[in-house]
Amino acid sequence: MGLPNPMEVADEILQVEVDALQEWFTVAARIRVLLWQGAERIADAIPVLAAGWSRPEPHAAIGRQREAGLAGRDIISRQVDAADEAVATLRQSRVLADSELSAAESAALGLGWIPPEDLLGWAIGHQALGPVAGIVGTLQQRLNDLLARNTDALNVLAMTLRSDPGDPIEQLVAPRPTTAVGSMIPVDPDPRTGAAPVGATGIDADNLSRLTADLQSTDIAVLAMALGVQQGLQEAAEQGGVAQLLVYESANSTSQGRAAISVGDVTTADNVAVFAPGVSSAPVTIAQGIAGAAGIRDESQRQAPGDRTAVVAWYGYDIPLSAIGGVPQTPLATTKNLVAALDDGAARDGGALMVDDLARFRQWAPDTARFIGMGFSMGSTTVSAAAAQGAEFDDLILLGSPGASTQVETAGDYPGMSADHVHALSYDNDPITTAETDLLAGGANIVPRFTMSDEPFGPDPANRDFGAQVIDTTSNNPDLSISVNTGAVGGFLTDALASKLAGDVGDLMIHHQESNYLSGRSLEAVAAVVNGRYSEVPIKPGR
Amino acid sequence: MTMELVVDTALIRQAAGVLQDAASALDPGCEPVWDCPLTDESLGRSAVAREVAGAAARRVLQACAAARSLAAQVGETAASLRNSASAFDAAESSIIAPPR
Repeated sequence: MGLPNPMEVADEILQVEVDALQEWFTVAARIRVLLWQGAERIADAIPVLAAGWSRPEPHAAIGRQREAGLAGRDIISRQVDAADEAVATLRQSRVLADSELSAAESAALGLGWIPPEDLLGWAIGHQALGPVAGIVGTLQQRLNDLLARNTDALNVLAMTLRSDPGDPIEQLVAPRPTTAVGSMIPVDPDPRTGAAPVGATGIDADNLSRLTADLQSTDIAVLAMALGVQQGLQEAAEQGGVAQLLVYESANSTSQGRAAISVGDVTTADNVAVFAPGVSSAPVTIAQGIAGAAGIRDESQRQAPGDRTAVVAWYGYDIPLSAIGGVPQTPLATTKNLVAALDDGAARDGGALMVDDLARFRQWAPDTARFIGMGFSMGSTTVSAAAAQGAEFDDLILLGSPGASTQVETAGDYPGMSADHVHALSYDNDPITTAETDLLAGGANIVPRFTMSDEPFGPDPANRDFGAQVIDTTSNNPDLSISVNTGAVGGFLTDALASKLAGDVGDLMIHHQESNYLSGRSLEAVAAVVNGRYSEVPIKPGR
Repeated sequence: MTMELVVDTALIRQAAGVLQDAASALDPGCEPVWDCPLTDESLGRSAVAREVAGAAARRVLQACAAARSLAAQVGETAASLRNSASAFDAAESSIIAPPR
């Protein structure tokens, strides 16, 4: 009949777990009462203390605790009220949807239809298509109206849930200078490492100790990487206030080493985004990745000022082509590193390392912290491989991805994650995201381009069949038009091919850039995912 | 600059007792990690439905943690007041104690 199936909308309305929502917010309602009662008792103490201690500071401090409790209660109160409204709306919609279904069924029965015969088949056989289409169309319209009401109620609830009820109480604890990395206030960096000062209890104390030792090394590879990481820490401290060296393994003649620097404090973060870079990056150049991490953090906190976000620049895998700009290595190690760009082997191995690193990061972060895996180019293949190996991210963001690794076929294959939390952002004019390899990303001037017949990096996550949420933004850079004229006699075909190749290389250089994926509307969309604000992420059908 | 300080340690202890009651009243007694009955698609598959499910799980736990944190802070304040009262008493007794 050319009409959508009303039962899909009906199911969306009827299967909402209203009782679970109500049950969960009874917990919040109870805490609202506790905060009110606690604040009242604190108020009782104020005049007593004022009478017993003539200086104003003690009872003023208690007054601030009371006000913080009441402010937290007000936030919870708005959330509970919005949840109650949503529960009422969702429950009413369920009843009304059921009623609409019954009315439609009665109308069809009135035409002579006898269940369980297929209604459409019956309508065709009895020349009743017109009346049946009218019944179904009316039902669809009413169900759509009910679904829209539900969405409106959930939007109101979502808005109130953007405030953290703990913020007023956390602000009571005055920021004070601390010797531990993870301080919430900007501090002068350690002159030796560039990091915020380290204390015995700092989560990265061991890593910083090793870095300090490496800075004295006479091994050029060890020293070069240490200096690069030191610079990265300085950048992170300047841009994020807090810099934490979460992973540090020294380089040597056969390894570029491993490092991860957090911009922002992981120990207090609401959101922890772990970002893996693409080919040709190396721990020695980690400082170059800090700007991107800081940009994600800044935009996330701009969108959600009440939430704290830490972004970890994770240079923790054997990044293909890293030998080009990395520390000196043996010829054999360099060759292996270059060849690693040909498939997702390095990404799969790196994914396993990321799983282990994440387990430590989770121990340091608050229980309620969300973890978001992000990667650009081969880095996206790596975080995808990590998710496939059980990293259990809350969300996954694959930027400019050559493939989601050969360890998954669809977005539904990640253990502990639903496909709705897998996001892909691939510009249509980025040749790396099509069925071609990532080689040119880092080695355009040294390795010829080629096309693989299969999928050495796994499926394209922006493909419709993969089933991810495909983010709808376009490249921030204009296309480049390149025309090559060789001047050869009869060289039309040669010129055309050369122009095509030059155009593709131009697209690669212009569109397949980490900074291009982390700016403009793309950055806004990425930050919205980091904050879990899915309703603000522009989505389009896959390729 | 000098400033007269008047203290009544009995009243300070009384205030500490009231604050201790307040701390007990504030403690929600919930576990740091509670199981939220909402799953990712409990409220539907739309983006806002998933956003609400995730945020609800987080915010209620944060509310619980906030109450627990305030209870701890108020309890610490009560302890500080008791310590201060004892310190005032000790200071006073050392001043008025007869010389040996």
